[in-house]
Amino acid sequence: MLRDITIGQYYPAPSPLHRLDPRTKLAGTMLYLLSLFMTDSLVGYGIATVFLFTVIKISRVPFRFMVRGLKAIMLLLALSVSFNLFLTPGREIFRIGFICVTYEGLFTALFMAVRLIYLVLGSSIMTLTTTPNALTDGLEKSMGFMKRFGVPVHEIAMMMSIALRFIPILVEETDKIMKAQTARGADFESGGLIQKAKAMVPLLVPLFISAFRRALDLSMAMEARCYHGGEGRTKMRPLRYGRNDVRAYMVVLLYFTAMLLTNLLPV
Amino acid sequence: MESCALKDVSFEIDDGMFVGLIGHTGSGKSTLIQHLNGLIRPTSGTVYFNGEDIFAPGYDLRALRSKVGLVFQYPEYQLFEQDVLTDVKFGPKNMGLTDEEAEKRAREALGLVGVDEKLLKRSPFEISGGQKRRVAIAGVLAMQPSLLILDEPTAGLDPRGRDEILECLDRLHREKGLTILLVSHSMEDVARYADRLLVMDQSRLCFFDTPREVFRHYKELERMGLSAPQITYLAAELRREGILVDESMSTVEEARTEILKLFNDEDQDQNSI
Amino acid sequence: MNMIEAAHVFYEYVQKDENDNIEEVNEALSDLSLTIEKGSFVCVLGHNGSGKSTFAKLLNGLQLPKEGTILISGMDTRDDASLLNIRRSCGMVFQNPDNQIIANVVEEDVAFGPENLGVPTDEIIRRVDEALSKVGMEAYRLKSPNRLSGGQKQRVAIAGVMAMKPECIVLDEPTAMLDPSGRRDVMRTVRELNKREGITIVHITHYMEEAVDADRIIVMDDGKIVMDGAPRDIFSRVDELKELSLDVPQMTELAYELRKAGLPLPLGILTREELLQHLLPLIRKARKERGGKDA
Repeated sequence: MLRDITIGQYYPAPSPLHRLDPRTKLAGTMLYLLSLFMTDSLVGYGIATVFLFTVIKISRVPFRFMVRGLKAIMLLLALSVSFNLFLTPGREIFRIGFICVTYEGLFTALFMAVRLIYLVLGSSIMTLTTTPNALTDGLEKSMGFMKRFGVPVHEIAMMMSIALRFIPILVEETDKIMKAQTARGADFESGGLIQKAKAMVPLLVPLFISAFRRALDLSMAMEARCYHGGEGRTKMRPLRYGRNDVRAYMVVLLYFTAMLLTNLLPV
Repeated sequence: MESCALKDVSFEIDDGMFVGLIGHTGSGKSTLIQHLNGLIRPTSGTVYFNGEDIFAPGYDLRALRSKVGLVFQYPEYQLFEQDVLTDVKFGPKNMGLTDEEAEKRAREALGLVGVDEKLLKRSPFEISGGQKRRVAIAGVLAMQPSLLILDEPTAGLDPRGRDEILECLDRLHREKGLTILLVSHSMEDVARYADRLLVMDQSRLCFFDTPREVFRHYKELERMGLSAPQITYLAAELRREGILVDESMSTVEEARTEILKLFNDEDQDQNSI
Repeated sequence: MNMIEAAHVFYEYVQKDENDNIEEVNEALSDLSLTIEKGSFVCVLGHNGSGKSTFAKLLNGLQLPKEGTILISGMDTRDDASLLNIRRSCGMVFQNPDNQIIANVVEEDVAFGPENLGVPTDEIIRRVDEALSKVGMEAYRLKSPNRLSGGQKQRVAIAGVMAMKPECIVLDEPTAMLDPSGRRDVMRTVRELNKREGITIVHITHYMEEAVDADRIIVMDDGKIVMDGAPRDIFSRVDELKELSLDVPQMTELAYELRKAGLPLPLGILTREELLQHLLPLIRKARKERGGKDA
């Protein structure tokens, strides 16, 4: 059923990672992603691997869910690996025609692949263990300082949260309108590109109108419930750092320092 | 997750019937009607239209959709053209008709549902809710279907709008001989207009009979979260008191006749004495 | 003090063309005056375009009257300083259940109002608990609104208003898009809030059955109040209601028809029980007379 579509890919599980403050997870993920670009050494990758798989273990999210995110970058992965593999100059291993594979190429390609895969896995852990709402809240709170520069942080977060609520509704609506127009003989499948684009008009016009109507209704309902911007708002579940968050920050910082230190090691 | 939306449903609708389809939300009504014009393919079993299997390979489903017109819930949400007339022409034009022929059909359909000539060049978004609904129904009628299926065509309308739509359907049925399948939540409405009722519960077809016969089983209807018309309950209560009115009466009109009979018989007696 | 006081209220919709010239002026309300007492259950009937939705929006300060005043617990809706207080004390529930739920989790949606009002965290949690249990939705606290039925969504919306501790709830056709069981649930909830919590209810609808056990019915047509009284009075005027293309409960209509045919039934019968109560003696009497004559 279309109603079941969730944005993001939250996987509910009773893990300490799920219970962490979203800000901790956001900051931790940032540092982790950064750390991947700061090292070239085998030791560094070793540490990153251990760290990543320990976190995955703690998250209690089945590994196959993590891997799903990789499908999207398969093409990118293949491209970057082949570029690095074939186009890096250096000590030759073998050569077929003008294609030359070098030791350096092999290493860079491998590192590149691992780096990309780890990037995706790292951010997947965050989205799999944090609900989109918590993520929005976390972003609002941690970006709070931007308000001083005139960035409407609260409004942006509110819009994100409303979008999360209405995307499944609009997806369902799209399906309904499509069926209704099909019943009137509309054809969304056959024809060339231009014809297909034209066929979308009977779908898109009602969809936009419906979205506007909903937006109007919703803004009225929000006003009726005393919404008047972020000023003076309180929260039912305000974000509060707990003891586990402090621990998590310490672990991440420790990891980050270790990654920095690997650069000092002789390769 | 797989769930069964329809289980072993079989029935036959004859030409010229006015059929009411009732059932609790989630009983499978919507799924059922979408099978009838081929929008959904059954996992097993099939649908015959005029004796032909519509899911047989090579069957022209697009042609079928002009013969089995399906009006979805809140059909005004599918309006999209700049003016009413052009919107109604959408269906006929999709059938490959010429512009003149499409316009002829559109005007005819709009006339049938009682949309005023003055509105034809107005934007479909500027007219009232009841008018929008009728324009949307005309959009399906203009394809000149022989079976018209409507999913709760009166939902959200006020009593005036509701009566206009129901009267219009009744007229199409009587005058044009259109076969109609009306999905409704209102027992009172189907009691008044339908000559057959399909009752769905938990993906199954429970009854397919005349409204009178179906309402006789009002206790079973209640178990399905439905209810019979108020008049049916009145009949049951009168009978419980030993007053033998026709237990299958279901409209105010029928009840009036039945009850007055109790008094008029006496009048006749008095006259005869 | 009265919950709602409206005096000589006018409101019009102005339709403008692209060049800002006035194309059409529709008077939605003209010279409307009425008072609604605290704790009463008032039903507003009328077909689409009769001005009843406009009236609802005026009560919450979502729209302001062109002329005249509207006082909610003595506060003028045109007074900006009391606007939040008016919206808090006179909450609103709208027709479309999907378009008034803001949050992605039931409890967060109920908390939306109190959050806007700056209520402290502990108090919000207490209010959300209370509001959800009052509408019988505690079991759905952590569910996504997308998984609820229409009737359940409307009850969440009502809880969202209740969490603001209102004195009055205005419901603008809350049952129009629901199936019969959802409609029953919503009506039961609203009635309980009125009886147990003493919340003033202004219920706008075109389902006559819902109006039967209101304290008072107001019928609107063309921006004016055309009938105002107890359900029994209003429903004894069957012809007038039909003239306004409004429905009459089936039992009322049947009683009315029988009365027209000569049976001595009282006017304004609303329920099956009442009809039976009056009809049975008549039938028995007729039988007895006939029986007597036969013998």
